Amino acid sequence: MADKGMTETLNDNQFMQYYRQILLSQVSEYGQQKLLNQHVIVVGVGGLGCHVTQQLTAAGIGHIYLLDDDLVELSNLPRQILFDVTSIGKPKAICAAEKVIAMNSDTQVRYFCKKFTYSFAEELLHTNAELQQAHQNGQLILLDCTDNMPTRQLINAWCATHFIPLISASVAAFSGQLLVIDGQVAPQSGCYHCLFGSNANPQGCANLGVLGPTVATMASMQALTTIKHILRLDTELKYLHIFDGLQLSWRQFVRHRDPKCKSCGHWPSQSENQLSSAHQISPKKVNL
Amino acid sequence: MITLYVNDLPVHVNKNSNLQQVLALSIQSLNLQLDNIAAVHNQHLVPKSQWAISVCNENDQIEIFSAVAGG
Repeated sequence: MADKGMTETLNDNQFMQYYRQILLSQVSEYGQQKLLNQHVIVVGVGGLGCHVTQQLTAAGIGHIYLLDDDLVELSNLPRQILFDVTSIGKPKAICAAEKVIAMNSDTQVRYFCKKFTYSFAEELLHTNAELQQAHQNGQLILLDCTDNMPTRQLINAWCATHFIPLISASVAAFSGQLLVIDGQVAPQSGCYHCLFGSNANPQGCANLGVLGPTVATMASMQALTTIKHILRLDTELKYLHIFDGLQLSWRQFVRHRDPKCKSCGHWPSQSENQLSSAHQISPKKVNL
Repeated sequence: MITLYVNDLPVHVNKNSNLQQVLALSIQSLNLQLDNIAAVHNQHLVPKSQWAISVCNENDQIEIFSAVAGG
């Protein structure tokens, strides 16, 4: 049975286009349909945002919303691969949208030359009927590709409020961090604020520097994690993944919810799966 | 005194020291600020509000790292 909000089967052209993805048993035709019906908000169209948008568009994500109020600068070009010298001085969201729209006609790209604010996010969610429907159907994910801690905290708080899955990637110098935050599937792992408090003020790429391939590595992992989350192939929801670009190594640490967190305090103590399996188990216990 | 390991280096602390105390002792040499770090205690990230109640034991492994916020 198809999920809520899923469109009909793939057409012949789509089948050919995505054949190598469909060939994967974990994806299959059904998984490709899920990707085509998915809505992804990308906040920040810088290094991470450019790469991740390009990869998700190519993979056939059906609806992408780009959000960034910055203009392209010369110093962006070594790692923000959707821009070239003709983009300098123009809005990043528009330049990126123009590039990816040409890549895949299956992807509907909308752009907003806006800074992420709580009020704008509310407006976006509540005035866009299609996005609202996608949220209700569990077909909405947000990717944090921003470059500063206050915005990261704001995005986390908004996603936590609305139970919107958040896939957060970050990079500076040779270090990267990646985590999936989902208050319905893994509430026990907490949110971004459980990990780093509001007072954290780390330096970014502008101060520490960064190489394009380090950004691309983190963005590829963010895109892969997004696809896996859409297809429910997650095995690593509880982890914070840390990349060391100098050693070419990854480390994983188990995340835990902060019982005093102000952002995810309203989340349930157990995931929906845990709750439903607890309900299934309890009658057996009574019978014993 | 007990010996535990902070970012793979041995550190000697009083018995029953908590994570907050160990971190306060360690961050100066690592040139980090308490507000900017996350702490891992035996592979588990410990939320900041729990640092003062996480008791450290002999041979515990503690990792301290800074938030990364660039994009």
